[in-house]
Amino acid sequence: MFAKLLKYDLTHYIKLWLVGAVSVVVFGAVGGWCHRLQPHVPEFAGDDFLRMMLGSMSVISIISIVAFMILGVVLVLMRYAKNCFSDEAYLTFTLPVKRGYYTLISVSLPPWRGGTAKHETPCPLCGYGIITIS
Amino acid sequence: MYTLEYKGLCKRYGKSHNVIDGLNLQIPAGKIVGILGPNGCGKSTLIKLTAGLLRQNSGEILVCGNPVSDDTNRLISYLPERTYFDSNMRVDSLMDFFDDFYDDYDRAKTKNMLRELGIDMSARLKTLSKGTKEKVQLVMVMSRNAKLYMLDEPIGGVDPASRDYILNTIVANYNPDASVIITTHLIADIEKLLDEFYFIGFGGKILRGGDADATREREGKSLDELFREDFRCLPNY
Repeated sequence: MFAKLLKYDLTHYIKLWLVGAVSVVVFGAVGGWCHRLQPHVPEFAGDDFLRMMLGSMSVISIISIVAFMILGVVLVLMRYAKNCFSDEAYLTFTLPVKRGYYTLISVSLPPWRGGTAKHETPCPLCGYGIITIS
Repeated sequence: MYTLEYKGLCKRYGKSHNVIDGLNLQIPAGKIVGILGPNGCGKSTLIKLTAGLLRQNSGEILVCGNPVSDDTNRLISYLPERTYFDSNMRVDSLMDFFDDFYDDYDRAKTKNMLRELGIDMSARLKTLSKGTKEKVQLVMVMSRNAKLYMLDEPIGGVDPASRDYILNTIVANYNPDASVIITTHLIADIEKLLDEFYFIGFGGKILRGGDADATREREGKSLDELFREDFRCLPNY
């Protein structure tokens, strides 16, 4: 029953979560590439604007990770509230499922744990770091 | 064994509002029972207590001899008075959902009923009208071979033609060994299919009840007329 509940909860926000995950990977790769390129900017005749843009992309990649983690928390809380405190609760609490499973799902789903950045493994594209979604 | 028993049931909202005060009632198997009363007398509260959505302050509720718990949800098919499915779900996804969670769900029955109604199974619930959504809900609930069906105001808010369809669906599709409890204040529409009835007053008190046909014969009046007599506009009693 727990697996079935998990399946239905995931299907409700998996699209939004995937969009966030792909964005993090893309921003992470671009940001890492920009971070790697930045020390070489003096080679392009010291263009300060270019150096600023490259630095900004690095910052944006970090912000995207934080935003993705917040998105994960928000999605889980929204889903929990919808399941337990909206009209859908009439369905939720009349299923033949133990009540504790609803709370267990909220703390075990991937969105809670999304956006973990691991820096040990170098990205093949930028050599900076790889964003792994766990 | 009774399908449903209430023993000394009490439910209070807040500190002083006793919605149900010492209700004792037994519902036998294989009967369609009407729990009839005015607005605010505790009909929906009684249904929600039985479905496990609310907890009683004291007393006992037994479903097929078992106290109400997550497990008795397997035995109960509950239709609330409001739309309770996710409006983004498609009708066929809803059928998959019921298939997954309820062992007694009959998918073929659902398909037949939806085909009769002309409802597209790939349609999302939010694209359906209110009346059609209510019909879909009723079809899903009546497609289960449950021991106890609880229908809370199943015909409120729908047109008269739809009411007839809903009532015919209830009679034609429920498990004959099961009990059906219908709460409503639209007595005239529902009384023709009731085996037993109970008039519930404020505080959950049973004012009148028993076999519907025998009562009509004895009193020489319809249940609707009896209801209007018993509940004519007086201060709460």
